[in-house]
Amino acid sequence: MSPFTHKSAKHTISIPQSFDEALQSFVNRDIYAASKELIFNDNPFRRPLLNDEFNGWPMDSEYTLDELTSNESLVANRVILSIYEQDYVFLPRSNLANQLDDFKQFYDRDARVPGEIIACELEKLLFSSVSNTVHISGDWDLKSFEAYFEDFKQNFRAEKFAELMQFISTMRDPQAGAKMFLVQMAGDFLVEASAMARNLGGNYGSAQSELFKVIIDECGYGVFQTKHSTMFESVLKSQNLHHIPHAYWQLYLPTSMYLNNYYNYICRDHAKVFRYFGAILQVETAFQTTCELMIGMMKSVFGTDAHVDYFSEHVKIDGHHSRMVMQKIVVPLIKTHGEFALKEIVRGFEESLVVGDRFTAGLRHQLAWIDRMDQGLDLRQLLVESNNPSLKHAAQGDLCGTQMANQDIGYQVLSGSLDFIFGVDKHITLRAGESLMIPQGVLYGVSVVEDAEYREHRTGVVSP
Amino acid sequence: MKILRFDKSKANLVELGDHAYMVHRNNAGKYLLIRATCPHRGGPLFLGEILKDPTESIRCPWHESVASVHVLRKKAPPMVVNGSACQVVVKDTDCETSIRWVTRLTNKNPCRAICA
Repeated sequence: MSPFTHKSAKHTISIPQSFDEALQSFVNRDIYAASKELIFNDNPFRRPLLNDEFNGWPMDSEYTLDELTSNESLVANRVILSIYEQDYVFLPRSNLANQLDDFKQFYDRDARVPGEIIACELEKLLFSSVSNTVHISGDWDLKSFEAYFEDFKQNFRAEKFAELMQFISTMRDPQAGAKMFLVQMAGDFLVEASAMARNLGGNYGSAQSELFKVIIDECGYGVFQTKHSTMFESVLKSQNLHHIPHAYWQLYLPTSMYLNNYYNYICRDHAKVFRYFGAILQVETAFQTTCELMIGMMKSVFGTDAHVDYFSEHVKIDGHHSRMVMQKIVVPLIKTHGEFALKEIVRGFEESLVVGDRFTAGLRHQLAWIDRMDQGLDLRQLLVESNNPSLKHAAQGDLCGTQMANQDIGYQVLSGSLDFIFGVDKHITLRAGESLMIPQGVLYGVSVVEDAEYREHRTGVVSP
Repeated sequence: MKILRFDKSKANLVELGDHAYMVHRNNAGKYLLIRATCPHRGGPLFLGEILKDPTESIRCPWHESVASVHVLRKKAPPMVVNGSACQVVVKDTDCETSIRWVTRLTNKNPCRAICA
């Protein structure tokens, strides 16, 4: 018998009886509905979640790292990020009264229970593969960990990330590439240190106070202009990009959200606290190198006057943070808590590298396609026809939401006009008689310029 | 201390001075570094037979002694595997080290005890 008695129906907590029921309950809010808007300026609550191509998730299964670029992964990452970020405070910069309904929907208590049910399943689906990629064995002790860490510090060159920065610099439209890169980082950098701050509560000894010192820096030691997220806002503004969190929600790649979600995953579940300390040690140590690469790319693309304060600040401060995390947090925790803590720290360190590589690979794939648009080839003639194309109609003004191509998808416009969006200010317009082949693993949106009739051809390997 | 790096699809045996260790995939699918020599008389466990029982053991080809993976993994050097990339921490910087791929001579496939 329940210990609670409800005096009125409005206090009853509705418990979903199945995952599907939980999902429907969660997504059935206006803020999560498909939207004709590509960019949500000054509204951090609007987040289209499902899209027309969403085929559901394979429960009791897990995505491989390669499957993270699927449309279902995109939806999973959108949903779980929205669940995680219910824990954070977002406000528009203009009067909240204009978005009060959206605000109430985002923080609706009735979304909490369904959200937890969904998050538990999606975490298994999304993050098991990271865990299964890293294996730790042998007789580890503090000395061997210190040698392992020192070796990383001396030899880390961020080769894949360096290649990405080089690619952006040499794109035919490097500014489009750089802006797409900044947009992908914005999901994380505009809420910087929020996941980390989940570990500030409780009581776990001196490491807790040491972590607080790192967060003081992240928050600009009380000065709003030096808060790291504010500094990144300035970078976005300097390139005439929107600086409110998730303005570019529709343009986030699944692998970019995955990076953000991973940190929420290990920070929200405090059983993974040591894993988090390993991950943050890796990030703080590597970020000096990657920020120098970002500075190089920004100056190469936008000129030597490019606004790079956010990155140069990290080159300086993360040297301190790496040392502080290693000497004041990680080493004392290993000394106190022994093997379990040590192996979890190594795991977090390596897993952080895995999710970072996924981010890089996902963006590289998208930018390679964007670069093809500027190659001088007429992409509007490219089409691999399939046997059973589907005939579709769309009304002017519709935006079919952004999605990932689970396979090579061909569009053949018979009448009217469609606009295909692939990044910030990067789109191709197809008119009657024109065709386009979108490769597997590319994010795209379709905006209907004039009432259109078109054929959709699906070929190639289908991702789950 | 020093770090040895190798790709487990290309190497599966690590020799540190007089001691040999092999990359082993256990029943749970985890990759471990374990002793490659039998505790009984030093037989080559990388040529042994992985027993399909829950105890996770390897039968040595020399005297058919059965060694538990649980025992073989004790005192093995620290290793972390990320995808196919392996890093082993070698505590004795002066010891001679080598990394190589070994297979059963009578079998063209990689030895089952050294799954890659």
